[in-house]
Amino acid sequence: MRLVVVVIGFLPILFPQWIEIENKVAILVIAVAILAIESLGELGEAYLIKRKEDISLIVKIRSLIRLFLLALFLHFFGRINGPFFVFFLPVAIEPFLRKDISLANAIVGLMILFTTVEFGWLVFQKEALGFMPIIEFLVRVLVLILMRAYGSILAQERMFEEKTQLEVQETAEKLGRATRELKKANFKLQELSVLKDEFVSVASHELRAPMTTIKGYIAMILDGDAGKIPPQVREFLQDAYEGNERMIRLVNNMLNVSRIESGRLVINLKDIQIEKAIEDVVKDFQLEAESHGLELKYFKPRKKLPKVRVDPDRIKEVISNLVGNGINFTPHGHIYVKSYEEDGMVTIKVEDTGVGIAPEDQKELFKKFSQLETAAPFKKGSGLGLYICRMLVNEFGGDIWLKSKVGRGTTFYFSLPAIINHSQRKEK
Amino acid sequence: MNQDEKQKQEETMSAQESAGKVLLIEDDLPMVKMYSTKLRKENFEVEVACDGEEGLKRAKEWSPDLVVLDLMIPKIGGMELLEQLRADSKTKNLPVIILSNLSQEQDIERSKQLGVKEFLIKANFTPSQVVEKIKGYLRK
Repeated sequence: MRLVVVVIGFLPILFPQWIEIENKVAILVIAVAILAIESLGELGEAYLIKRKEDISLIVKIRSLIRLFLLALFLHFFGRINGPFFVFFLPVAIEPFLRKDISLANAIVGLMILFTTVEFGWLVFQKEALGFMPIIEFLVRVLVLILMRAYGSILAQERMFEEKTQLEVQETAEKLGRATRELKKANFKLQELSVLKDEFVSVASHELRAPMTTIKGYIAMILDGDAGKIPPQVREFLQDAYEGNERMIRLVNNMLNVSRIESGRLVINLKDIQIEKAIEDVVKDFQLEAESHGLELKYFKPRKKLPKVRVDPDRIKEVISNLVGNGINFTPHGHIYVKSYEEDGMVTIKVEDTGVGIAPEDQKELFKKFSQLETAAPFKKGSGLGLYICRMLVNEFGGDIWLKSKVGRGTTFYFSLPAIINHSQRKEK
Repeated sequence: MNQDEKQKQEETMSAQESAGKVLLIEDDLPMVKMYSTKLRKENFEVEVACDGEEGLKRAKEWSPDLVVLDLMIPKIGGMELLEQLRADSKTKNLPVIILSNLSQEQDIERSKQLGVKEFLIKANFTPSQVVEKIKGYLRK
């Protein structure tokens, strides 16, 4: 500020035609005074700081003197006749408008005061009477008031700008923080997901060991390896065995579900004749069906079915699941497996004369850990649930559904897209 | 195996012809008892190793007809042992059945590549079912 004032203070010397002599002198004197006061003030402050004294009083005094001198300076400068006056003054005051509107107002207020005092003095000395001096006074005061208003507007605009900028910055910061939080949370979630998979994997494997021991020993006792056992002991042991089997199935289920969900279940697709897979499964279950007094039969179609693209082991597990369920939910009668081609799909159906499934239960069947399924004993296989069957069949591009009537029986269907190659097409 | 057990086995052996020599490599003692009891009942000669190093040694020295291998064993792990068996000309074609409660895909794949007869999840089979499978493989 000092620089500005000093430069302006010496400007009038360069443009003599615009200013009256006494004003020039006054401006020069005030400019020098400001320079002197500022420099002295700084020295004084530095001296006091060095001596670790409190400089707040000196700062206040300096500010007051500065304010007074500046107002005076501008007042005299304001008396320049010419366009310079109108445009320069707001610019000169502008630095103050940045922060402290009251300071700018104070300066202009003081200038109005000086103008009024000056005019009053002239009136007192009977020099200012007449039309022109009064007009000049009024014009000058009006200009000062307008400047004050202009200054206010500038200040407000600036304040608003600053406020908006601050708000934008704050919002940007908030956004940045929120994004960082989200990233952290997402990372945590991924970690948790991995942990969950690991936990399920470890827990499943760990749980299998004791379950195997229980299974093995009970089986051996039931086999008679520890001698003959009374019928009631046999009965109790069989129940215990079933309970343990159920646990094993559950663990296998959990493991498979966890694998599918984490995308770790490996699928090896091959083009195969589904009839072979069905035959294998039916053969596996023959003994069990017989022990339940049921007829289990596969009605293999005379004409070869189109091939299907599946993972042979997995599709066998699906078929096993359906046949096994059929056996377990059928007190007497049969389980028939049929297969046919329809609308470009190879459909396999497993129908039983079992207890049937109520409509409200049918909806729950393909969901995770469906209660219906785990309620019944199912001795073979790794214990895939219908949930996984559905996932797998869907994965192979097919669908799985059922029809059932309580008391009559249930038929499960699943379809797979038929692989039709050119040679087969020619046959048709 | 201690002296008593050895004697018992020899006695049963002398009564009937041995169904084959099975090396059981497993460190869980209840499991060992289960499978070896069942196997001996079916007239198999059974040797047990409780860690990978011991297992490798027995496999080379005792020349079993079939090895039942658990993957989670101390010292040398099951997979590593399998690799070493296949690397040695003496045991390259030794029939192996893996009995494990781990079902990691990479283990199953690798074991297939190393030519095991079967990869069984212990929890899914009773001892008699396992023995039936062993009988099946030794008959062939």
